[in-house]
Amino acid sequence: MNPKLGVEVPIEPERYELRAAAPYCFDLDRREFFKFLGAGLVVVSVLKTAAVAQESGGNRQRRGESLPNDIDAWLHIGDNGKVTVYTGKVEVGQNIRTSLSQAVSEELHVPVESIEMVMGDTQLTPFDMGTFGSRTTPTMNLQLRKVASAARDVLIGLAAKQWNTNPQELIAIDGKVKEHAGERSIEYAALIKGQQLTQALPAEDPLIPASEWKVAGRPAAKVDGIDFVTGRHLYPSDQKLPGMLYGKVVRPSAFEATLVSVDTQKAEQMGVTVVRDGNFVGVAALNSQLASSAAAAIHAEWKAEPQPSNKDLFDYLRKNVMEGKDVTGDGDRFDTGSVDEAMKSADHRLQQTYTVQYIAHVPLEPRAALAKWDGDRLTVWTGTQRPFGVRGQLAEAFHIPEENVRVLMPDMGSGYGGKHTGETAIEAARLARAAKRPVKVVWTRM
Amino acid sequence: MATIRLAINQKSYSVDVDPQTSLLTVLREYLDLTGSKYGCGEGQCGACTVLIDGKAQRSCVTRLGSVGQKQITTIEGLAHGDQLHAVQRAFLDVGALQCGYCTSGMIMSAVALLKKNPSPSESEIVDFMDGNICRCGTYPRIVSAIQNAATSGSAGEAKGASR
Repeated sequence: MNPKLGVEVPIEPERYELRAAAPYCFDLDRREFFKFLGAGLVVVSVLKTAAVAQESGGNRQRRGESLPNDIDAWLHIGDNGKVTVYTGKVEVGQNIRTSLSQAVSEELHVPVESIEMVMGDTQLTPFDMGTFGSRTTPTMNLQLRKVASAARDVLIGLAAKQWNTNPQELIAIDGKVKEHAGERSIEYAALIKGQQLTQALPAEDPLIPASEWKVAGRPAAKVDGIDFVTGRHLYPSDQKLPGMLYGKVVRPSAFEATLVSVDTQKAEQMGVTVVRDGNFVGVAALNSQLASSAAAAIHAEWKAEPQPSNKDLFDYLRKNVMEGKDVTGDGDRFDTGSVDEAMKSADHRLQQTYTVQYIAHVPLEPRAALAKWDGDRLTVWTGTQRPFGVRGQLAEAFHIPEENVRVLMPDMGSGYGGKHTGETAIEAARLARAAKRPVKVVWTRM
Repeated sequence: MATIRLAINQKSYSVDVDPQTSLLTVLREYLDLTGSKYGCGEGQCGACTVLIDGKAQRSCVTRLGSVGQKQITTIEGLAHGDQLHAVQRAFLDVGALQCGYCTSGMIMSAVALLKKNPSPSESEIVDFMDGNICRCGTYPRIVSAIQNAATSGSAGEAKGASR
């Protein structure tokens, strides 16, 4: 057996999905932080492991991680004791909103209920490459434990200074710093009162070993579970704004078909906004019924190249090998050579053909986006595993700087790796720009 | 267009809408009752399930004109104030959800099942819930949650304090 095949290859997004990602260089500016967060203690995590990986291992290790010197998370404790954690990771049903809260709870010694996680909002959270490949627990969970641990140390330090005692005499428990042996105890909120404190992660800070965890790594109820069993949680497809229109896109007759001609006259008489832009044809209307009727009233002629049927697909793929081109960019990850040679020299041979159908992700919540323009500033609520990637795609599509684009990711009805790109966001934003009103697009199955 | 009166969650509503519009569209777009979800739009996934006169129905394929004065219950109408329905409580206790997009429909179907059959066997649960799809794969816990709700005794009623 080739030992290389035993190497764990993390599941990653397709290369094309990473094209739009641009590093978000966050300059730590105390004034900006506190203008937005209010007084309190901020602890910032700078991902040093990524820089080390880059020096030692090249591309492979770096993929799926944040970029060197990026800030990957921060935590704020307000002088009211409220704990808010900011991460670019997103909740898609894997329950990291809960597991990351548990991690912070463990190290900071505050109840899970007192922690709010702000996730996947490109304006509020640090850059993150995306939520995929089961990377949140090995990377972000660890970072947040470090951040929470550093915050706890700062709080213990503040109490030690106030009481003129040795920090080693003090412990943190249940949102308070207490004397190990003595009587004194003070709440985190009281220690912070009115101050603006910042702390970067120390190089080495011992964490609570997993064997001693009381909260992290243990079964826990979904932190906002009640909102789901009562129907209160608002998914991307549930978002609504005043004056919002419903968008519908006229789909091509085939993959990569081009638009030859289009007659939108009937639709325009129905009191809807019609957009024709290259191969894009769509409508925005007061309700989704009207949007569907108007889209159905558009007569479009498409030119499509003949394509292999499902039945002929594998023959087609065999006959159309792309020689010499590594379109995936993954070539460096595998050994290449002659299969025939290897078969000849093999001790045992098994010849068999296996084919696997193209399969779709089919998350139960379809793709959805709500877009709103304010001048040349764009805000989009959308279901995606890569809010920062979608921000880049929107900026590129509309020729505006990334700073003008804000992408928010309400906890969504899953993705299974199929919601990495921003097609729906771009569609909604195109329609919203033409209609001069917010537009929501929710894909249908038909 | 017609003015249609509806009885939803013990309240009466009137909407001006084409009677051919689906009940799901009216709930979500006109009445802001977004707890019922659009999953497939053709009655295949169960995410849009509501109760109509106590029976589980797919609201995405239910034309508004066919509803009349029948009593509609959606996920938003299941709890009494802070008192969760036994099935809601059980889904929380068992952790029978991941992304939760199927949960409203699952709970509504389960309520309909327990109304008809207060102590279903595992295979009766599986049979009845067949039309509700969970793509995250929480089925075993959903079955457990329904069993818990059934044994808690008053499955048809709201029970237990909310968190």
